[in-house]
Amino acid sequence: MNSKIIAFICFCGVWSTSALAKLNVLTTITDLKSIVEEVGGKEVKVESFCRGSQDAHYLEAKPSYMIKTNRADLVIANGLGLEGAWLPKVLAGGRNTNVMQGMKGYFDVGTLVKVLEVPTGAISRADGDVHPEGNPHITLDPIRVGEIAMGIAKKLGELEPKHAAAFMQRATNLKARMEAKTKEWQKRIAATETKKVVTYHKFLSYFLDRFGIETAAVLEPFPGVPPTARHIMEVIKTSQKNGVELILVENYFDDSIAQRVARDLKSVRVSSVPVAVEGRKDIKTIDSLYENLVLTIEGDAKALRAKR
Amino acid sequence: MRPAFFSNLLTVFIFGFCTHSPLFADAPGGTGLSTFLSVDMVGELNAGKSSNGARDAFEIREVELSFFSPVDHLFEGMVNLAAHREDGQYVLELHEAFASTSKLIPYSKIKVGQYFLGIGRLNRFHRHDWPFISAPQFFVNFFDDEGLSDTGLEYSFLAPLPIFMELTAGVTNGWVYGHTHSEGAKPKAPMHYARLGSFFDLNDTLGMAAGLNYLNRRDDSGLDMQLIGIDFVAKNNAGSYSNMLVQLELWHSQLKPEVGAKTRALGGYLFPQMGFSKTVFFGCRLDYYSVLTLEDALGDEISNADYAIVPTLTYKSSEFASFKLAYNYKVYTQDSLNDRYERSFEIQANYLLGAHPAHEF
Repeated sequence: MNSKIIAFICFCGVWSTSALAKLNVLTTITDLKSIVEEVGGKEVKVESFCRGSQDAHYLEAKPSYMIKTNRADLVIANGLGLEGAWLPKVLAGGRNTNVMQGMKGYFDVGTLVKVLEVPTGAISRADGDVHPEGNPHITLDPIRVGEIAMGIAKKLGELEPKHAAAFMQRATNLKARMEAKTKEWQKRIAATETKKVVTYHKFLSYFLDRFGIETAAVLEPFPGVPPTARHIMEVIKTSQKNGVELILVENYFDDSIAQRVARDLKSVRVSSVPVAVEGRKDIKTIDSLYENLVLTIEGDAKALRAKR
Repeated sequence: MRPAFFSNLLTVFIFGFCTHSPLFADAPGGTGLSTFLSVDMVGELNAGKSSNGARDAFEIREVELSFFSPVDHLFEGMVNLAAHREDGQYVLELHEAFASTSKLIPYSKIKVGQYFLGIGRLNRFHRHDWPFISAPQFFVNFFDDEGLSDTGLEYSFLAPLPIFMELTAGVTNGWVYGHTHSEGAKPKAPMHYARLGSFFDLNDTLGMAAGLNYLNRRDDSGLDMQLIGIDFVAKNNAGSYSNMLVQLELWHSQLKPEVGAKTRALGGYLFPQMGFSKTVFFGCRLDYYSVLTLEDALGDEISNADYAIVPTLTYKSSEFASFKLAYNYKVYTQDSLNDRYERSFEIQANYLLGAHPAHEF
């Protein structure tokens, strides 16, 4: 009996030691969590503040996030102003000097990639919730995600030098896989002949840019501002003029406005799509996020062809 | 010369500085300095015969000008100036000026300077961030219109536990209490206070925070004031807005003079609010206040209670502009006296210019 107890205690000791030995990483969004899970492997324990069903713009600085931050070895932020409304408060509240902005345990991936839609000229709040640094939804592009993975591997390697090579190898694999899959996805999307779409918010700009699809109109009149009747009429006109056949509604938003637009247009389909890993139960990896978007575009194109 | 002259001169200087200094023309290169202005306009209008003598006017209640920035690699600084309407003119005064750090001692946050004391719920937020227009009656009686600010030191400790547990304690001069333009007098015991706060996630979207609070001060005359209270807030985040908010505070006050009987009072409010969209919210505040030690000439207890029902409709065009409409229905009850009623409408328009710091839960 005593030997069983001793064995159990030893098991608990070994288990807790191995759990403690893992690098404790917090990401702000689930896309980054997915990348860290792959790059970090078993050497890393990773959690995301934001769930896939939550819009990271509007998270609140919950004290429970501060507790997590207090124990983290590394906080990985998307940056580009995406988390500006809550992350500074969470970092200060967590009272963990190691992961505060500018410290070794804080990493902003927004600095790693070329940013789209950087405003030129004077901007103000009259333009809505516009990000002066550019569109922050960089993880919606598989190629940029490859670059981000490499940056994350480097950072993880700095914190855990003994696993640096493994991190870099996994990131290289991820990057190569993304490049290969992107070529496939490009072919599949080209076959659908989808050239222009309407979206609700500019979440999908990077994805659409990568696959050569133009955003003809956005349902929000300004970033972060709900659609108005006047703007909806403008979207209908623009969509007619541009021959838009697909409205992609990021699933953080209600698709009823898009359905309203579709009623006034012939042969337009509305699809509600997850735009983050875990944004729907079956979207468990960064690959499945893109695959689902490609499948949606293919499915809509097929349905439209059948209708004609 | 009158103090108002100096404060107005200061206003002109600061606003002129903000609008003309190259520091504010664009990003203040490398300093991290941010600034914001909050303009709070409020109107109170009589409603019915038994009204409370509201001014029937729509006026600027206050304009706040805030600066915040990292001071160096360890400290952050904040200065908040507010121009209030007092006796028909706007007087600029210092609301807050403090340095704080969460980088100096593990698990700790330290604040030094003049600040709103870290107790309760309303007292920890500037008035323009409250979900209703004006303070509940108990709050005005216990904390003054806008809350308690004073100069001192506040320390808060985040317990190394699996759940969020934060102990905040502070000591301030206590020469004055609430909003005043006098220097006050040296208290026999400085103001000291504490709050034990916790937070629980009920699920991914619903969270609730609660706090136990204590405040004590013995003024120059030996009057010992003690406040004990609880605060509670629960919010459900529906994506881009809170579709449910419940906010509650309940406080007990005790005033004990060196000679004579002590006075005890109990007060609080409950404010449930529903969010219908990112822009439209409706809540109804229920207020309660009672002096527990009110007695008649024979020493018999006089039962008394003040109640209020304050339905409030809020429209937010964005997080930087809000408009509120509230109806105040107050009832004052006391044994052997007729109930007294007050009815008024309140309207508020509030907007922010510049970069507001991130909000707490």
